Amino acid sequence: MRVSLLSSALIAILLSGWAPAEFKFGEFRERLPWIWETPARPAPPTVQDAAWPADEIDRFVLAALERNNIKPAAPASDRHWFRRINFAITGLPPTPGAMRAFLADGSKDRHRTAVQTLLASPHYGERWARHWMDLIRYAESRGHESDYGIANAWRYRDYLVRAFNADVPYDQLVQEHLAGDLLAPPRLHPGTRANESILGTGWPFLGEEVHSPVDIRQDECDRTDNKIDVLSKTFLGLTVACARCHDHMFDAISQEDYYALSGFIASSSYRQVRYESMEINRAQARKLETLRGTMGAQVLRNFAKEAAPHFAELSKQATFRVPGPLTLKMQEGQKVRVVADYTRPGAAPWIVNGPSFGPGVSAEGGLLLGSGKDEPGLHIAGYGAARRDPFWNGLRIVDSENDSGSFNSHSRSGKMIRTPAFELKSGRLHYLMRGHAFVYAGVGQHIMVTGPLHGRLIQRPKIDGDQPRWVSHDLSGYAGLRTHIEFGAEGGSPLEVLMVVEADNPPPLEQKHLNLTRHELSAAWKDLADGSIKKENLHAARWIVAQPKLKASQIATAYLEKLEEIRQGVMWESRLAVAWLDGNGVNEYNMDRGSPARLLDPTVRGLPKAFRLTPIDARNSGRLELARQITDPGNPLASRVMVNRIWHQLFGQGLVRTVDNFGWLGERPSHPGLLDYLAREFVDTHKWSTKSFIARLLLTRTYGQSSQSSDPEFETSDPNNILVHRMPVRRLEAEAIRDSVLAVSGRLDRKVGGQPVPTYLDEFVVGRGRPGGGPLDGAGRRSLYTSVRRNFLPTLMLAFDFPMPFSTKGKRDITNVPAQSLALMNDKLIYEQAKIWAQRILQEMPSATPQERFTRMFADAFARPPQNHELTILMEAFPGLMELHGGNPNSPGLWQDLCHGLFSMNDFIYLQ
Amino acid sequence: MMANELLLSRREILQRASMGFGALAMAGLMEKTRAASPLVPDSHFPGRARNVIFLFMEGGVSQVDSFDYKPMLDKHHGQDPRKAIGKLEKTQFENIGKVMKSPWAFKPRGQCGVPVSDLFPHIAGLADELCVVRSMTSKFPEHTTANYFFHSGTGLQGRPSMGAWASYGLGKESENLPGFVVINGGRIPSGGLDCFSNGFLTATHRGSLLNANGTPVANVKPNERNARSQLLKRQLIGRLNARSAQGNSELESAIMNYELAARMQLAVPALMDFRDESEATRALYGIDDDYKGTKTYARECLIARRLIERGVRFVELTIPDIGEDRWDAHGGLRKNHGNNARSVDKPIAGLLRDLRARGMLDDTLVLWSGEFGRTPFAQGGNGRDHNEFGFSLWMAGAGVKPGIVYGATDQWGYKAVENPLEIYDLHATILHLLGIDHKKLTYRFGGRDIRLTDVHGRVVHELLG
Repeated sequence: MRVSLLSSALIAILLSGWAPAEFKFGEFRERLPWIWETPARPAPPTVQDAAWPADEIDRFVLAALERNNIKPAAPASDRHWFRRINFAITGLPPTPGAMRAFLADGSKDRHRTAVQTLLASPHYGERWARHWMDLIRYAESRGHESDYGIANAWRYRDYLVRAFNADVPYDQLVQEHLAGDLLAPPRLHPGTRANESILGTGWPFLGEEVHSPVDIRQDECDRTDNKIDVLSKTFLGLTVACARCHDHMFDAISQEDYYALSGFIASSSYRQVRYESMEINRAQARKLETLRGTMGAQVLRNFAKEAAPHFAELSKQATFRVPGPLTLKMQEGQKVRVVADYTRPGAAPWIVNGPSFGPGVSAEGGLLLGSGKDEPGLHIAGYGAARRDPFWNGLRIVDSENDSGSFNSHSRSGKMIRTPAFELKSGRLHYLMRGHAFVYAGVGQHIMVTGPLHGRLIQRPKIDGDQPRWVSHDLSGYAGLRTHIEFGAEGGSPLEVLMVVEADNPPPLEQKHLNLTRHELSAAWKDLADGSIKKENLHAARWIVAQPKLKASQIATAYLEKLEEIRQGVMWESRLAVAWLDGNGVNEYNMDRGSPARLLDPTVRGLPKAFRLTPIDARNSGRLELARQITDPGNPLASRVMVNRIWHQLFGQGLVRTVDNFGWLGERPSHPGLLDYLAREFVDTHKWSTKSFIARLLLTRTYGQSSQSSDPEFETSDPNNILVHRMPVRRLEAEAIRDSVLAVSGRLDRKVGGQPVPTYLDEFVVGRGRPGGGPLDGAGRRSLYTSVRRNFLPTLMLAFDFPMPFSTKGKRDITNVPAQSLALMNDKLIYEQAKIWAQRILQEMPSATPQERFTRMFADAFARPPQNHELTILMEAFPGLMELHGGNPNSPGLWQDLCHGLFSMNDFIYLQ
Repeated sequence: MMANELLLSRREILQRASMGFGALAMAGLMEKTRAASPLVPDSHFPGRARNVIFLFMEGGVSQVDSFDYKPMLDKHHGQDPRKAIGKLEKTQFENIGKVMKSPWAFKPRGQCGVPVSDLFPHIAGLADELCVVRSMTSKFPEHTTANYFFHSGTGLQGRPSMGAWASYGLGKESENLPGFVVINGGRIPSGGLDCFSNGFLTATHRGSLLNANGTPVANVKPNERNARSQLLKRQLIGRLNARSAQGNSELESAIMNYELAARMQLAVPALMDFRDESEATRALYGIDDDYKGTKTYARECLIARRLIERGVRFVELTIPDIGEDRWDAHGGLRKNHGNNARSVDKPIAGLLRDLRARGMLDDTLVLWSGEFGRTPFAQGGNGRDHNEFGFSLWMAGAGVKPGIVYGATDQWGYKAVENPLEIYDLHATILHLLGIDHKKLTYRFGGRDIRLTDVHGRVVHELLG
């Protein structure tokens, strides 16, 4: 049994005194009514200093300052402003050339031009993807004991970079995160036609996963808790996970609301998706379906024409014994629970990953037309089944990793079918199937299958021959738990799944035989010649087409030609990414005190009731409806939370400083009117465009202020700068610091996207499951591309407050500790980069004076010339250092020391 | 202790932020500030302990082979446990062997007569100092989750460890020292560095890793071959930065950090330099022992003493890497426990004697425990599986009753039956010894006020002297 943090809120109540001790929905909702209601559009206030505002936004800020008798700061210098927007937009320092060009631009619009240029840079997407990754607790490994990898996790990271660069509207981005697999049509990559939308659904599986959990149901509850925590904080700024064990203590969120969200998680499962090929192949699959539908009759007629002489020979016999229907012999009193019946169309939900099983059940009596020259056969299905179509056997996977442990969705991707989720009773399952399969029972959606426990979730049955047979899977140890069953085709083997049942013993299978007269056979033959088979002639016709003598040239050439055309259009290779697979609708039980051992009634899926929206009792997961409710322009929180996050990133603190919690225990907005105004502007004017909204904020007077108060007195009246009476001095984030070092030294490889670079492992990156190490300089790539392994985060990044990826962290810590000074002084990477920088300077300026080189170094590092006093200090220090390096003014070691020193200047890691 | 980070002023944040390992500065390390500093300024009531040294025996030491003597095992050795003991709980590997007696003999020790096995001959000699608890229980039979649980009171990753809570609750004892240091002997527990996580507390409370061997602290070693080169550089930067800070407190504090960092480069080597320790002290710990594991753990124990002398609040030691698995004796109990005990036994006894001799044991709590115990019956032929239903730990020093045994397991040493204790109770008791009411030490995160002990825990007054 696991314990939960959540019940500690009970204690908070006892201690705090000011919170009520019971759930008072109405009261809770009323004390923060605004978070549940669509923002109105407040009119910008009037201000005394009407000349100051450049935007209506400035009027909100100025009005609050004026009310407090505070004057805004003077405008920042152009250099400061330009350096500031470079980091804000791209996370990289401006190049000396860009700074020169900006300063030289005399046009009125140069600020706007500068912002637009930077927003068009691919590095914008990298910077803002990383902000988003903090919310999604992005990592490429599963933590816990051995830190197993998450296969292909980084495809999600690259998706984010592309999405931000393409300025995908925020409502669309949210929809892709919640239901990217269900959007029709999905958003396609403009170049490759890959499905972009579905990549958004990778996030649920980037969290912690435990291998061999002793209590698999409790483990599921904990995983779900984390997903709900991330979902509700990221998109809604609400702490719904607080209500797992009891109604929320402070907000109008009931325990039922928690389980109403849990259902969405329970209604979908993990998969690796062939995101590149899926849309192209979906179109080909439709063509294939149409071809077979329209040409079936022609193929039959053609067959009858060609085979007529052979049939005349064959039909000389008087009677024929032919295989009849396959039946199940139900015994008296035998209890058989059918979990999924694929023998009849429509009896079970069709949940597949990829095209291999076709668009639905391959029914009894249906034509099984050949899949190409190698297998040109004509068969008639003797029984209905979920049947692998060999047409798709050539699907391949490239450039992708397989799952950790025994779970294997890699090779199954594109050729997997799963049952709906159901609750195990006895746990004695039986599968009626034929062929080779990788069978996985998704009990509790446990996917990190390795170690001493739960190996039995996986089976690899091989049923060779023509007859389906029962395969038993004993899951009785999991009785009472929810599961679904996945069947993946193996290799090039056929696979037919007819039925999944739960029973002590499966009903015996009986292959009936029919004795047909010549007359009956002829009736079937006539059907074939007519191109349409009557039900009563099915088995006779099936027998006829199966006769080896009749095999010759039985496929219409036209069919094969068209088939080949379709085949040519198939995208056989694909990369993989983590994604959700939509399942049947599951409403999760409410749980007494959060314990899965004490189940109460299920709760219909939906958003918390305080939103006053319709519950979502869909047949499938209902995530698309959820996504639409969240991104409806009337939703009170989606837009407010996002504009606040953007404000937080640009201004250093949000209008609501607790960016992930708009509830009672969060903070109230510093500028409520502005928050609502921005939320409305974001939706109405900017149409959810993140880029244009960022540009809008960057061009305000407020953002353009200097970081010096216009009067020291204001530091007393607004000590935490809540009113934004100046811009803050801000320390750069870990990534921006490391990226700056590489940019300044010239080592930065500006390539966008790709495989993570393994983390450089020093003596402080240790533990069980330690991965292989990478190069000290991370191959010169931006920090975004360093592998994020939960248990092995890089020392340099941690020193500068890189967040532990365990849940949503919209606001990073910003500590100021000597470990950071030590890192800048002694970190090997930084020292090495100083050497590279120095070499470049000496190479490019072999006969320059020290002053000239200093000027160049300042341009590289700070995009400004050194001030006079700085030059003086440098020149005073120069002889002493030169002496240490043998008195040689061009000594590489000397210039390495000087370059290294500049990395320790406050200007390097602090933004004015 | 209900401070909401968000409501702190910038000055307060800066003050709090100036801890962390980065702050291991000379003032704290080179001078012995211990005697001069006041006891636990922010505590809820006067505490008995000023510091904690946690000797974490990762993997799970077998109680029936160490501190919980069970003659029944000798009597029923080799029998089917399902017959002898009765119904068995599910074990991790479900590879149930026979009832297995201990390969180590038990003897009554010291004045108190508490039986301790020959597995720990040196520690046994200090039985009169030990407060042995034989009725500990955990909730998880699996290492990582149990490690998180033992450290943070939850079986989840990324929650604050008890050292982080102590650091958060008590603040800094010395100006320049981190509150929570983990001395790494080479074997990071399952669950990784998150066992020492600050969780949602600020990063300054994270357990700072100090390697017993190799480079002790990240980036404390200059790259420059010539020390003067770094000095000149630092002076240069100091002058350049001084002008730009212009009264901005954040920038000023960054400048201060350079000074501290510079001193750390000297102070950390000084901390790790045992030349000022007498031969007798070195021998007491086993610094020059033949066995590599003993040597490493001796260094760890000595560093632990030197750290608490310098004001570190909570020191945790990980076990050395000796090529043997941690205490996780699924097979080959005799070799596994033998070698692990050989590593830690002498250094721990040395530490206790040294602390006592210096008068430091009076206000230093020493805690010895694994994350769970082991089964009294074999796993396979000669191992023991995990057992969370009953295991032993001991404490010594500040405020605990010496020479006593508390609680009991059943006659097999299988399940705690008399005065069973939960990890929460242990946490509550440790915090109590530090002068903290565990119900009042909370931190607001994600909309909740969270405690180390969740909604559980009682201070076990019976253990307190």
